[in-house]
Amino acid sequence: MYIFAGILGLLNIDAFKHDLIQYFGVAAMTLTAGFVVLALTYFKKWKWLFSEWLTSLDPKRIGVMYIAVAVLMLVKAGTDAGMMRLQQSISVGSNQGFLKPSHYQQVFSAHGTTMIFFAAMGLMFGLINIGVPLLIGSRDVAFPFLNSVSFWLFVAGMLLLNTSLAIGDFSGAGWLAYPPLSELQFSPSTGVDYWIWSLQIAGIGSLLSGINFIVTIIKNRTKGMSLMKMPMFVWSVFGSMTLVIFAFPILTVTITLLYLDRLLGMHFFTGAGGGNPMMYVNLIWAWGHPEVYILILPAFGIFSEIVATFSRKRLFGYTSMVWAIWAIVLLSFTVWLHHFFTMGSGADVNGFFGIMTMIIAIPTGVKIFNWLFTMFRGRIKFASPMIWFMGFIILFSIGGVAGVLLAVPPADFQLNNSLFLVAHFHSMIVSGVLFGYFAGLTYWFPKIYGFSLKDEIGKYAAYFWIVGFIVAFVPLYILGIMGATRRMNHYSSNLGFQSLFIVAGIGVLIIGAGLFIQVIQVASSIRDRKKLQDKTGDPWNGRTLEWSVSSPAPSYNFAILPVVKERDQFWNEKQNQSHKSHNKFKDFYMPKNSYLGLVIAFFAFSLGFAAVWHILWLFIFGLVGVIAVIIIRSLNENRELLVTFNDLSKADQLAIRNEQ
Amino acid sequence: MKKDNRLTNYAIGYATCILLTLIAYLITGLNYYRNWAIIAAIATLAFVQFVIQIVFFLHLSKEKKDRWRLYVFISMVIVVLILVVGSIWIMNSLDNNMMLDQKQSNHYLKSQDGL
Amino acid sequence: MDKSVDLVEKVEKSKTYLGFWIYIMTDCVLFASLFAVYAVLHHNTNGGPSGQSLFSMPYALAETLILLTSSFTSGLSMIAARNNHRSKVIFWLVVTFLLGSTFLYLELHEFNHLVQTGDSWRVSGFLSSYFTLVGTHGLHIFVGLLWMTILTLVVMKRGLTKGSVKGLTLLNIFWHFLDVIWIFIFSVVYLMGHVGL
Repeated sequence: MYIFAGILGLLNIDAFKHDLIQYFGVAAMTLTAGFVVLALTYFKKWKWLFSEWLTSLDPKRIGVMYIAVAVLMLVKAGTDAGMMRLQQSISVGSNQGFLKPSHYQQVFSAHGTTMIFFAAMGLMFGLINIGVPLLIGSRDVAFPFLNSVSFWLFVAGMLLLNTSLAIGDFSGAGWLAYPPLSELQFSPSTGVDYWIWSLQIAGIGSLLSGINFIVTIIKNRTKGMSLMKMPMFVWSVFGSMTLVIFAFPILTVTITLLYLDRLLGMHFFTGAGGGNPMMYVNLIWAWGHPEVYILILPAFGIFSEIVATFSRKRLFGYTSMVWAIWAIVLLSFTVWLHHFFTMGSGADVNGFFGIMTMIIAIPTGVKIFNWLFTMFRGRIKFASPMIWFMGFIILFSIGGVAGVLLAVPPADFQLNNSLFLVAHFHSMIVSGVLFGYFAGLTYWFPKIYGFSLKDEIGKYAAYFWIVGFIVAFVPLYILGIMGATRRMNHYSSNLGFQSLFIVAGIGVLIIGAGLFIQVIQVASSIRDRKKLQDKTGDPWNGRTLEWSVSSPAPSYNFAILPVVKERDQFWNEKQNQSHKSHNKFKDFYMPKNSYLGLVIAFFAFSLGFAAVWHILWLFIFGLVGVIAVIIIRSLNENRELLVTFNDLSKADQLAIRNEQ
Repeated sequence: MKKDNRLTNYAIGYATCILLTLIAYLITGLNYYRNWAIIAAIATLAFVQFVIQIVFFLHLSKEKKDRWRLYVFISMVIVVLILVVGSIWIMNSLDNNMMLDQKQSNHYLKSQDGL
Repeated sequence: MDKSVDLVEKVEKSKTYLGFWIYIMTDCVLFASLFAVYAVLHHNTNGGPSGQSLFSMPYALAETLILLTSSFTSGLSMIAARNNHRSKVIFWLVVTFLLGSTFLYLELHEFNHLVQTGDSWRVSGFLSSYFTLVGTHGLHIFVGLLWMTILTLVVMKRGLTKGSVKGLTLLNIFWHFLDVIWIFIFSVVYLMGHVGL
């Protein structure tokens, strides 16, 4: 077997041959990118982009960039979903639909992979970057440069995945690439390698972020903010990042072993030669289950902030919420087998994991009740974040009990890998993760940009998403119970599935309309931003520290670091009209911008591309480049900039003068 | 752990680890003990050396300055135990139920022309 | 002299120290995954040889003692750093490097021998997992040696500055951690393999 052959490796002209739909996809991506490039050139904004955004180590800026990439990926993966719904609506009986099986496989694989790793993780890290430093009264994360590296590795992984549409093909083995299908024998093209390497690169970015935010939460809290005074969002991030640091190494190992099987003819997961494909399934889910809790915990945290703020009442059961987070963190490492009850382990194993799976529903239930108790006797304002929350509470609970049903192994034997399962996990991820992050975007938008989004339009977006989700996924629950398997690209007409698939397709259109309304919301709000300006810095009458600074927040967040004596201190100060006299202003250091994050991403992308196409010289180039950047950065002892009184924003200078 | 005693601590750690390594090595040569006893002994010696190195070389303690490192370390150990023990338990159960035995394996290989 | 102790103390209280320690913890989970794979696959010899027939115990013992000693000498370089003895730091770093390189050479020699005699990673699940587990450790050793080289040059050129002391402290933890992992490789792969587990 050739490991690395020739100057272009396995790359040849065939890699550029695609079918019509794929060409269309490539054209769409190219046009979008081209449009952006043109706009930047026309408005002469390249320098601005480079110095204000691409090289910035401000986590608020990095957060916005994560979100921008995530939304693009949401649209791309959403298009994949639309294609799947369309295919499944028409591909019945003699009609084979418009996607041939090999293409269909790539579509559902790309849909899942993109949604989890780039849309959901991107929104999550974006909001964490924006929220955590502000909420703990800090100016930055613990390792600002590493933060930039994490983002740029995320981008490199995203670019690698998208390159697969234009050059070569993508994996057809699902979003988790089970062997033996994902082994070389059954997936001989480079598709699975694209999957492996885009995840590998993005995964390292995630791991570094996990380390970064844990140290940030432990070490960067402002004076007086003990752990039990932290906002619940910060606790939820603490829990999620703990899962990140312990789960992602498992992913790293598992997909590397798959790559070694493919590249070097090893026998980890091959059918023959002493491999064990079931070990892959075991390991990938040992990562995969914590991953879904990684995604949901910060969304829970956002809902905690939102429910308290919009109920004008403190969060009910703070201590039990904290315990619930850590119970979830621990338990999420004890349930992973429920993803493969049907693979054949004995009743003792299946029983243990089934019971643990049911138990993990309890701390989540505690949180749901605590949110409801927070709302009880509150003075509720149904701004759009609360609409997202209401959609979440209902749809997530329904999806959750479907999960408890699936937790029973005998039931799961009927329902595993059916559309019932698909409806369950989409219920959790869409109504939990996505609605939570959408609510968070609306909530923190004014703090970042200095003006609010038009809330009425936002409510319509939420309604469309909620109704669209119900129309799209209730049919799938029913289909699952009727026996429909997931990932079907065709089925016979006597099954009675088609009408339900058509309804589901309409649901996706409604969701698409919701997404479109969100775009309108943003565009229209930008147009009318002067009218929507947030003049006080506190547009929602909030409870936590970020609302005590002006909007948009200055790059350094706090001119004078706050001193905290209690939870929801900002809210209490407003109620008591007590304005604590601050400490005196002291000069402080902020990190300088750095372009090295970009450079590392360039080398990481090269390395990934080379690994996919077996181009040895390029692989070495990428590897040496990454190592060189690390060494160069480590030798740089001149990383910070002093910020003096005159460097502060006008608003901050005024505020400090008024105090004194 | 006093700063002044760092050298002493390192020396004690080093000497103990050599001892533990040699004992484990020599035990494997003892054919007249049951296998499981030897394996248990090796595991114990490894565990002890692990703790020695964590305390003496990696300076992990209950002191305030090491507190968070200790918490993360304990969490890691818990996760590792769950992962390793869990995987072995699961794979063992799967192998018993799902993997081919020698007779089936030979039959399969024959049908595939030896693969 | 006090200044150097202060520098080290400062590093040990710093965010960087905690962050690096957490990274080490993630690396432990990485190795745990590889150990889990080894545990599951090491009996799958695919008709080929098992560890019992392949591994030389004296050889493994030599590797172990060399690496253990290098972990000790790495600690000695840290003590020298606390005492602000630049030349001693460099001396012990070089000794550690030589011991580490010897370890790596012995390991690569063993790998080469196995490949030459036809017992490569392509033969069975056992050999795939053996080469990957031990090889990953060896890769970490290689990275550590690279780091050691650069750090030695930095100390030679810039002396014991805030930056170089930070680097020394972190490298020291990294190197110790690699020996901790080796305890398990030696015990599980070589010793237990030898008695036929």
